[in-house]
Amino acid sequence: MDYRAVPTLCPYCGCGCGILLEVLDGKLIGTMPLKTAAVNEGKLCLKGYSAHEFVSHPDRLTQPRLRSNSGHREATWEEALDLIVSRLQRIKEKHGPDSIAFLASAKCTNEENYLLQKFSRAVIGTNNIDHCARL
Amino acid sequence: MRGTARLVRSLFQAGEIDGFLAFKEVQGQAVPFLFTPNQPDELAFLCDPGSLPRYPMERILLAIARIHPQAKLGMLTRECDARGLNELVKGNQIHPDRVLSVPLACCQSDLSLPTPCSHLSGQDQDPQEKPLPPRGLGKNITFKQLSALAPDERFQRWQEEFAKCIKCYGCRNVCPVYICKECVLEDNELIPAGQIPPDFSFHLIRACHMAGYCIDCGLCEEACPAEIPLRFFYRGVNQIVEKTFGYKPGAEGECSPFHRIV
Repeated sequence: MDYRAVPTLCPYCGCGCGILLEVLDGKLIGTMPLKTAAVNEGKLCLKGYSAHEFVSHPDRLTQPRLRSNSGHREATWEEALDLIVSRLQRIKEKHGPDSIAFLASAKCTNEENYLLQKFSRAVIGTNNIDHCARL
Repeated sequence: MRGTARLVRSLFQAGEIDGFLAFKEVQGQAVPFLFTPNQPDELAFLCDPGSLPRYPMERILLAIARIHPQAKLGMLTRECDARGLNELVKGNQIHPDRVLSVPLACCQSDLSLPTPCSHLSGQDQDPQEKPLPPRGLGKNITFKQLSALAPDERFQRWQEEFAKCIKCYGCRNVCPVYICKECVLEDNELIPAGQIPPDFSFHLIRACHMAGYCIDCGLCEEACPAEIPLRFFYRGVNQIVEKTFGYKPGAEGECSPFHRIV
């Protein structure tokens, strides 16, 4: 018998509302607003309240999928990353670095977003970087 | 070791309870946690009763009890939690012998620290009545002010309040007496998905379901991002129940008149 409420941040938009994930016997059973969070002051929107639902949803993709002539097929991470690297390299060589753009996410941490812009500027060589929160 | 933690430890040692639902300090915040005899060291992080945040503890207890029906659980119980527990016991959701309440005096008095609860003081007795806002009813509305309004204006102002609703379902999600496994508010025929603000009927359904069950804990109003005076709304509904059936939800003993009909 184990119940705990884990304080964390809502994974959806960039507001960063404080949430509590309710874990009963190792299974996610619910989301509550974190009453002591300065951002949302104990309130949440509909998406926040369902933040636990996608984690063990049967429709959730847990492996990369590659598009082929017969639709999609499951692939390993190694295979998928290899393909991404070779394609990005080919596009950059053929059309130049500014033919590639990066879209960062409000769901990521500061550090992850920093890494992505560093990758885009220093590795690929383009300033084409933006984020979904501008939409 | 502090008072409550010492008490819980002795209850564990005596084999009185299999778990104790209270608040644990995690990352500097007080969050609900089930202390168990297997992890006695965790008791060092049990928060002292003081100005603790309010969470629907009875609903958490019910979620645990549904998976572990044989366990005997202790719980740090505020006055509102106690009223909620009474409703869950009366509604045959929790066996009274499997709950041990450790009361926490939280409503403001000379002895205890104040917490944001108006159950005892009551919104009605607010000596400084505030003027009505230009639209809606505002958070400080009293029944005296409401009854002074003409029916048309009253309806208009309620509609303005409900037009702010973003349909987050927070009022239902935090409700300690929300025990249903299926909810009509999720029925696509009654409450069409994607329609915001929801139809007036959304709030009328909530109000009907709160009649005879609402324990006036105020968690719904605290959770409402649109600041709709929900506590006041459900208080109004339960005034009708009290006048008609002489029943006040939350007390020990007799169950809701609507439960008897069902």
